[in-house]
Amino acid sequence: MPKQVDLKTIARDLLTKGKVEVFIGYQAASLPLAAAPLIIHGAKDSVDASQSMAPDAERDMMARKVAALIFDDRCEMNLVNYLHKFKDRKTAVVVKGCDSRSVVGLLQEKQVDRKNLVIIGAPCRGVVDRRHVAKLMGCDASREVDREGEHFRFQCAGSWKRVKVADAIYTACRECQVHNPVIADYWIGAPVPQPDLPELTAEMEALRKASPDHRWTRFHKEMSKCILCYACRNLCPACYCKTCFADACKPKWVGRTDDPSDAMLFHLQRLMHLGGRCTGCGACVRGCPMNVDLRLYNDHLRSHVKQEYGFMAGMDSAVHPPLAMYSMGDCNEFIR
Amino acid sequence: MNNDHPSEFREWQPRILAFLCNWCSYAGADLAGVSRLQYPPNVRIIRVPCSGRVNPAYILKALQDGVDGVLVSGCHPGDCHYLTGNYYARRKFRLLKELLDFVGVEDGRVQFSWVSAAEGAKFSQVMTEVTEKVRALGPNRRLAKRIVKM
Ligand code: SF4
Ligand code: SF4
Ligand code: SF4
Ligand code: FES
Repeated sequence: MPKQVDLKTIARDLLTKGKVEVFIGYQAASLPLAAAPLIIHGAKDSVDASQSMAPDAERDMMARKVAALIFDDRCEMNLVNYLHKFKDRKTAVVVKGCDSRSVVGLLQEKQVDRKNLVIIGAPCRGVVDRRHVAKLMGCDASREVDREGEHFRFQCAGSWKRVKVADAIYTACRECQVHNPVIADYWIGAPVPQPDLPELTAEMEALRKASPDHRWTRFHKEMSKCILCYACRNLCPACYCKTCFADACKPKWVGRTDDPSDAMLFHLQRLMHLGGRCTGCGACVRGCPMNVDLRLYNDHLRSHVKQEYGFMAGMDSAVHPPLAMYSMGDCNEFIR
Repeated sequence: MNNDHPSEFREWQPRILAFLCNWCSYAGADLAGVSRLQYPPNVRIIRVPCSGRVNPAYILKALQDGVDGVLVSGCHPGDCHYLTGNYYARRKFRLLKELLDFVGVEDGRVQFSWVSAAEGAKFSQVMTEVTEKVRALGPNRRLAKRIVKM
């Protein structure tokens, strides 16, 4: 197990000793219960614009930023997406269990170089779904969140209210199979217990057993919400193509009308690109302004790939991706 | 064909798009032709270099543009002109089929076959079966776009 360290201490150490040029972590954000990414450039960063600052001022700024680093139940963002921006620089990144799988995915697809990475693993018990909590509490909860065993305490209009952890965290967190990072150089906390979960949620089981008509109604309902803003794609660490089919205009793969078939075409194609690659981090679902439940479809393909090829995305960077290989004995029954 | 001039007085006919690999299935179609074997006139053929060249996007786009069924046909496993194209394609199509089933697109809208250059008879039989299956499903209303394209 990697060494347990203090977040701020390790950040200061890596940055001042020039072991990394960039440190990617979290800071508190201005919205209630929200965290924002915090990108800290070290003294040795060759690209950072603040290089033009006086060395003292620069050190001060770095120290202030390091002091602002946090990790707690608010840190929902998957910071791995930023690695694409700092490709050839020595970078440290804070990853939760799910995010660590995205790192493995990028290593597997040779998008990042392990030599340039310092991975700060954050064992995670689930992050708070602030929109859902605000709904539960009937008001914007305060930025204070306090965890007592199986409950969170949120502040609302001056008084504290208790909410069960399971009711306040994201669905992806309730279903999380890897609360502890699968890859890390340091850990900033003690490992958390990993509950034994069924392979599929009750909702998924039911949907799989439902009639095609029922499944179609559900798909149609989800897709009718989509406004084709592409936030899901932009937030997904596995969606790093420089030229995405969705942006192409010759040919135009995705129409821009509000006929649900346009959203369907976008999502079906994107789902095909993510089959066997989506790690289930939930960044797409959290970022969607329209609450489209993309999870259902990603989860379905993930479990298909696991069942068919015994492969779980983002668990082992040495394994070859299943959709980029074949076997003579692959299922042939569906072909005439 | 009837449905190029849709009219309430004419019977609905399925429109089927077939992506045939150049080296086997297309040659199979040719053989069916020169052997004067009959198959339904509902099928429109697009020749592609290999079944592995068929991007699932083509299939989805065809359905959105209103075809009633899509067939992708390539060389038998082991016979691909590019050796492994159809093996990769098989995994990809399996994934697509899984996805389409799960979202509720009717089983049979998208079909796959392996037809060799020597199988003219199989070609005509596959075309007949595919057409009949799609006919039984009725018009494609699920993925087809309703808004007039601009
Ligand atoms: S599709 Fe969504 S859940 Fe899957 S890897 Fe991308 S952001 Fe994460
Ligand atoms: S949707 Fe597909 S093409 Fe677009 S970024 Fe994601 S993987 Fe790349
Ligand atoms: S983020 Fe939501 S609304 Fe935007 S494109 Fe994705 S699913 Fe559609
Ligand atoms: S050439 Fe026919 S399937 Fe590859």
